[in-house]
Amino acid sequence: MGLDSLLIPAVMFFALGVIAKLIKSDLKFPEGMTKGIGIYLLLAIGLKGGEALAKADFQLAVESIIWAAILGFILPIIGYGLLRFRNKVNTFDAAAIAAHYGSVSAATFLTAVAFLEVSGVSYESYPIVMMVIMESPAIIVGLLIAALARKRLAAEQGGEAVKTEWGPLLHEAFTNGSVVVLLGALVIGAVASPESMAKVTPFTKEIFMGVLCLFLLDMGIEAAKKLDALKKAGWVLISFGVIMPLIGGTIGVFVGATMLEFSLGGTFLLAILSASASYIAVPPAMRYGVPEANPSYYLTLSLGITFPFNVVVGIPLFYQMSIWYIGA
Amino acid sequence: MKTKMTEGKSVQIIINSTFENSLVKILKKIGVTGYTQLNARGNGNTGVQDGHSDGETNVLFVILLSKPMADTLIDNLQVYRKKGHHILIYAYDAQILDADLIGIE
Repeated sequence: MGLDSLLIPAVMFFALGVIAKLIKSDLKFPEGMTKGIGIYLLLAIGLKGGEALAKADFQLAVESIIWAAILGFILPIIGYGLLRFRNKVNTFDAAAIAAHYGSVSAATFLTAVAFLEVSGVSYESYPIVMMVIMESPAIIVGLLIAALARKRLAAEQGGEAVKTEWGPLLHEAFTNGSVVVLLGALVIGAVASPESMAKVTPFTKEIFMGVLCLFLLDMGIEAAKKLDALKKAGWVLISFGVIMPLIGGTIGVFVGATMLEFSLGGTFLLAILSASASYIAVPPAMRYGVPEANPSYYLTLSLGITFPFNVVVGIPLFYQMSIWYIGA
Repeated sequence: MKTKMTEGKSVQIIINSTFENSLVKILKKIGVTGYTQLNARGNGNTGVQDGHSDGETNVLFVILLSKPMADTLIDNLQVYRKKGHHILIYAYDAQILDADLIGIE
């Protein structure tokens, strides 16, 4: 395996994006283009997942959904515990960062899918459904921790606790664009006739890898932009950005292989989901719901540290770990 | 004939786009009938705001209103600032032409 995982076009375009930024190239995407590409990628993977899900085992699909919810609640709690160890990070920053690590990164997942497809390894559709489910629970955990912290602070200082506006926050958690597109595409892919799905194949499958290259080129530029902010983040947060994906990925391998009995491809994808950190759905929710936290910390960590770490180290590492654990 | 100008305030507010709906609700609540909104890019203590994702997009609101309404608006926003929301507010005295069209007497 070794360097092979890095020699797929999508990953090399990510590196190109980083290099372009480092050499101060004027390369940049038109405003809104990345959002458009992101919607396309989610739509394409959702349709593909839905098509496969229609033929899948119902019981295993339900079990996958339950495990996705469990992971979505447990991972941010582990992350919060790590960040609060010896009070190195304040409660609000810890709650907001932990929420990012309990949720998922679609870009990391799609890069892992590209890696499996280039390697000719098959995978189940369940991890795609799990990606949808895992988007939201961590947001709720982050908001709950912040709400409890506000109550505790108010009790200590003798003031009145700031009330959390749950309505708009829960609405954001469950109706954000990624969830709607992905869930909608899954359903459409599952109910559409095979003949009609064949008509959209050029759009959803054949150009998918090329569009992913564009997306990762932009992600490389954005990740490199965060490098300056790393100095402010400090070694505790930087270490967390590397340690937490290792913990999440290991848990993902265990749940995928032992609890859900996925194949090598499915186990690896669940490991990547558990190792990844959100940078699209969670930042706006934390920005509004936990305004006390510093946004530059969580965005720098998820996009500047964990995303590149997962693309370069996490993908080959969790693939090898899955092979070793399953004994494939 | 001298054109009649009315004294008022130009309040400018920079917020993250995630706060946009809340700000619009506040404006409606205090009776503001219109506002101008621009995407704003920049850098500050919340990091670079370049519009790449929803958490990194700032918006600039320009609102013309009477002095009492400007005070009410700022008081309303102070509640959110105390909660920790990053809201930058600044105001100018303004001479407004046809102020009655935007509800300023």
